[in-house]
Amino acid sequence: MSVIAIAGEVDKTNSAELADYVERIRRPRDHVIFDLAELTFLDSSGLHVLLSCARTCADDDADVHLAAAQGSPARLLHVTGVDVRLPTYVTTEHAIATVLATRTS
Amino acid sequence: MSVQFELRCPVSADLAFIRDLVRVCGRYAGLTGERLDHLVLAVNEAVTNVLDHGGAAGSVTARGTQDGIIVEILDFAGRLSAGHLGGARVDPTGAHGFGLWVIQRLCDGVSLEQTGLGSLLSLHMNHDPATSVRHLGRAGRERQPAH
Repeated sequence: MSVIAIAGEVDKTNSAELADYVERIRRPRDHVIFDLAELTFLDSSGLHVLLSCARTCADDDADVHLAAAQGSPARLLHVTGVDVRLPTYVTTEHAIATVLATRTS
Repeated sequence: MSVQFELRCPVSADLAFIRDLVRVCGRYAGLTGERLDHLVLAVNEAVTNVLDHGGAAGSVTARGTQDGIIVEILDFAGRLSAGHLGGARVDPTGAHGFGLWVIQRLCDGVSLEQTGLGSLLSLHMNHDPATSVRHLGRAGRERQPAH
């Protein structure tokens, strides 16, 4: 699995950079856990990066897991229904434990 | 005695700065917490839309009202139409952007007017959600397109 922590603010000025980073880090068949604990702002272009990653993962039977979203980013995930569509967790540790349990079962 | 206060700034790629300005204005107009965050995100999406799909030039004005705040985003190129607003959809697969949908979902009222200066998108946010002019449902249950 790949655990990617995103901190600060993600908007149109840096979402392409985030997309490049995610693409570079993720290995084939990896689950991706986004640790959002330090993310203070997420716009629709940033959310688009997370969803694109989820599509790429789905192509090889993996998932994107969203952990520890707070405040404004958490509400964006909620109003768009993304928090229902993708597995979400209160903490990153919980997300990691869940992915590990899935892999060994 | 309350002092009238109005924000006027150009659309620019410095989105973080615009968000900060809108946050100050929203707070001054009496918004707090979730509603202030929603306003900041909605204006961010509207300005991004001008940069990406409009003429990349325009202005942001904000003024307090009795019920809350109105923020107007003007696209000098006049490229935003009612069809774009009405046709905006959330796309959970991530195949398309959905900034316009988010704006309409978060704000208490959204209106669009074609003016001599460009297309003027007005976002209304009230202090109290009970005075919302309309409510949209969650993803997938938004209103039908206007056209």
